[in-house]
Amino acid sequence: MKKSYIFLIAILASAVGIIYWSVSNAGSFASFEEAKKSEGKEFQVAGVLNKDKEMVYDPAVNTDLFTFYMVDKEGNEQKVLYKGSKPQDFEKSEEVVIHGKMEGEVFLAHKILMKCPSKYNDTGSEFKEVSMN
Amino acid sequence: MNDIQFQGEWLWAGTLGNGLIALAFASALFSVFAWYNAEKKTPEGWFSWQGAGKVSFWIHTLSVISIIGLILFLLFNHRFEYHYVWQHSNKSMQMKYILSCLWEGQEGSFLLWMFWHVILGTIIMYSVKEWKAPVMFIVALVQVFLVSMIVGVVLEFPTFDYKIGSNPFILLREHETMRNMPFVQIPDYLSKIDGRGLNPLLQNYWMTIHPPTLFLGFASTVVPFAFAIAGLWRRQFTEWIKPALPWTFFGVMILGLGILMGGAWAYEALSFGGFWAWDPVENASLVPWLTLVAGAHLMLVFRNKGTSLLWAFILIILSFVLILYSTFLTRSGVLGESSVHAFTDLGMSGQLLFYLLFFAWLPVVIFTYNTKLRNNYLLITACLFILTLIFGFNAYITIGYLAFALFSIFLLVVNYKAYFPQNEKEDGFSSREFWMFMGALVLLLSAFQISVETSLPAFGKAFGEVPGLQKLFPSNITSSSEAIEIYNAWQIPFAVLIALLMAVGQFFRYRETDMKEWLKNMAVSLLVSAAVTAACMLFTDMFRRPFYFLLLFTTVFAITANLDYLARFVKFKWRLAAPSVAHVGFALIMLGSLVSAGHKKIISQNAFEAINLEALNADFRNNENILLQKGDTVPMGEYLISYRSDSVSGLNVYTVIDYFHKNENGSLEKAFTLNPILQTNPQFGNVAEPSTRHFWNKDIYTHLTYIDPEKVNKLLAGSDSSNEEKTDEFREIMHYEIADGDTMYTTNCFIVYMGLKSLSEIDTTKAAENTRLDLQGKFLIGDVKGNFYEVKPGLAIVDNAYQTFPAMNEETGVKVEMLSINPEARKVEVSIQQKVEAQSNDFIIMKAIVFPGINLLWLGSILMVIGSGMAVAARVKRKPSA
Repeated sequence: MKKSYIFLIAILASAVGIIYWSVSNAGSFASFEEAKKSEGKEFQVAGVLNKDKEMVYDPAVNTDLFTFYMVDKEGNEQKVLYKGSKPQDFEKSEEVVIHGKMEGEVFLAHKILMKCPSKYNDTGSEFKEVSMN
Repeated sequence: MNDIQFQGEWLWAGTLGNGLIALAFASALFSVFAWYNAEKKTPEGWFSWQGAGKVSFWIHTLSVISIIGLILFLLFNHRFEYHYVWQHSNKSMQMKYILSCLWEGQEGSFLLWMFWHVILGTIIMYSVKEWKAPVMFIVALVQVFLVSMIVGVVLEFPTFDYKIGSNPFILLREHETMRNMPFVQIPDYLSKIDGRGLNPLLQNYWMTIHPPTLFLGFASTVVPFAFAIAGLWRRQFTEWIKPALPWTFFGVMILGLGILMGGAWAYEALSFGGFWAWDPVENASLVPWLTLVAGAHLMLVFRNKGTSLLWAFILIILSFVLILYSTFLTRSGVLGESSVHAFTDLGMSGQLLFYLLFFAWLPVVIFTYNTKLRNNYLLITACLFILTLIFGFNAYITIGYLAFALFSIFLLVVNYKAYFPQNEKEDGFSSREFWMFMGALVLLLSAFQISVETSLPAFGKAFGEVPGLQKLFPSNITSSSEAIEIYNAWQIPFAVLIALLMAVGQFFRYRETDMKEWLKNMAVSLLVSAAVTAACMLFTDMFRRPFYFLLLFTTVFAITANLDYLARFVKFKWRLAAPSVAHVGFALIMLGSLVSAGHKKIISQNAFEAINLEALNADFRNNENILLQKGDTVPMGEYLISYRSDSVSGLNVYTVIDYFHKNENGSLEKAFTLNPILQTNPQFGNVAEPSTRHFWNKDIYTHLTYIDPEKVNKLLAGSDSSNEEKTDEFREIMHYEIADGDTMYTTNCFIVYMGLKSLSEIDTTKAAENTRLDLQGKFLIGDVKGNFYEVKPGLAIVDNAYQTFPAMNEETGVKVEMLSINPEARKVEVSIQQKVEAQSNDFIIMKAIVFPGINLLWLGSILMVIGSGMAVAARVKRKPSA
């Protein structure tokens, strides 16, 4: 009988440990505004690509650098440097989620998720992961 | 209301389809009722509820199959008046993908799931004897919920409307997203339209075989669950184990196979860069498999030793509930912005949540034998449900549910104390059952960790507004960007423990083991695996992290120990061999993952390191993708690779990349050719399809990460991009003031200023007003390929005015012009221009990864599936009737 109580306590302790670890390492969604306030801290920002501003991808210079401007859900615009090649059909993206951090004036992203529209409606749109890090 | 007479529509099919759905729903409902009565009442006279249950389940089975047949028929005939047909197929599609069209959509995948349930249900009706009624009761009940997912009826409440399910027979012109489209107002619109089509990405054999296997895996978890519930219902807590065992191992086998096939698909045909990416959708099926494996082992413990019954119950019930949870997570849209390929919300999240909660709640109700207590519990449930309907989900309702969950757990504990067979025996440390139990706990914790990390975004949505809990799970919480590291940090130690337990487990006897003998038996495999590990450490540079080293040792130990057991104790008798074979397989899977994923190497680094104009950050080195100009040969890893040509076939752009080896004479020898593909698709977005070279000990996996869209368009239009005219445009006029040794950059070259020399002898005696000074600069131009060129622009100073003589290098197109000099500062002002390269977009960007030892993974997968299959076969044969 005693042994089973020990197991129970061990399991519960591990479960609490797992939850604690997960939560303390969890990511969080933020706006660029919030990301700027905690410069250098990792965030995930959702928003849309600003298609009017220039996107720069010059693989002859650097195959792993792509620059674009993004507008978050609160309407703040931000220059983003993405470590990686320009995603296929990035111009067609409907929604973009980037993972990364602010550094000075730019947001350094290491992961992009993009949602592409299906032709006629938005119920069929799907997220596409662009990079695996 | 709508007086347009539409032409050529097969409206009868929709009517028939909806009739069949109604019939499927009604017959499932009646079947639940019938099997309930069959369990509760003894047959009287000619009428038997068993018979009624059978007949109604048969009607249900036939209606489900007819619905599927009807949809296939409509797909086959391109009846685009039906939204589902229009959305998932088109006229140009090959007929062999018609099944993929059926289950591409949510409605179709629910039908596939139902299909397997009715097949399993039919087998149960004719093979299971004593437990038939309660097991069929649960299966039919599950079917009621599943059919409701495709009903598509709108319920009107005073305050809101609720749509139940999503109907596959809805007409295109009546679908909510299409209703207002002008083209569906034309009477003969049908003759003008084509379907949206099946995503070309899914037009392959994986899409034909993977979903059916995975859904059979999902479906098979319902059977052990139904047996466990039946055991609770009849208060026969122990008798269900024996008949349920083969079903449980069947679930282990098929669900495991489905998961592994998903990994193989991702690796072979998708550009996710590996076998397993810890994506929520993958995790959602792995978690129930882990608990099912744990549950199956505890069922074995109970069969042989009579302990661990409680945990067998918990894990088996949990596995099915987790299947429902994973359905909820991946189909409700709660993971929304954090998953790659979760389904989007079809407005069924409430229904899916209800489905999940119902089957988590049902065991509590059934286990509460005290009538008064049960009635109160039902009353509380009803109140909570009504409150939810009135207020929807808010912070208070969520608190209510949490309190309700705690109360339910409390009830379970009370009932456990009152009714459940208590086992006072303690498993000794030297007994096999003790270590099997420990293994089950490790699997449970492993499943728990994956579940929690995956669910973080859902937790944020559920508890983000709840006082107290919002500190822990704020509404903006989501899975970590570094989730893969977090998964590995937990799961590798868990894997070490599991491998160790798999190695030693079978050498323990049930009840008690003579430890001296045990040590003696273990010695052989211990020594062999120590030797193998030492050899791996000596002769490779892998496994340098402590946990990698431990996992290497424990998995090798598990493999050798199980082989040893198979040879010396089982003596290759197939009936007893199942555990050894499955364990060797699982250990190989872990070892293969360790070697291939833990030591994968990205070899596509650009040969010429970072001419990075902005020199931003160390994070932006060109270290993962390689740029290949057509015709160039560049080093990559141990190869020299050359992008030879490209061709178009249908939607696919094939690139031809040759791999060369340097042979002993130093000359190049072609080793092989790979064809990474870009699948173009204006509708669903372009995707890259990898091309992999398999060796016995490693794979070279490559996929395109970028092709210039204009180049793709040209290729598709059929024009050869190499025939482009040369332009004389220059770009990037840059001005610099530089001193000796300074370096400047253009997009693909760097230019070093080597200094200045005078060509004319400076004659100081001459009058200052009539001088001409000729100067020549020396610049070194280096390009991406590592070639160097020299250019020598001139500068003349005539009468205190500058005359420039720019110099141009043809190979790089760089033009250097010296504009002025500043003798005091020893600096010159230069302008750099570069010709726009004529074929500047004739390049590709590619990623290449070496996965060592991935064949261990595939071999392990096959062995594990065979091993689980042997466990099923051995147990089916062993029981003549159940």
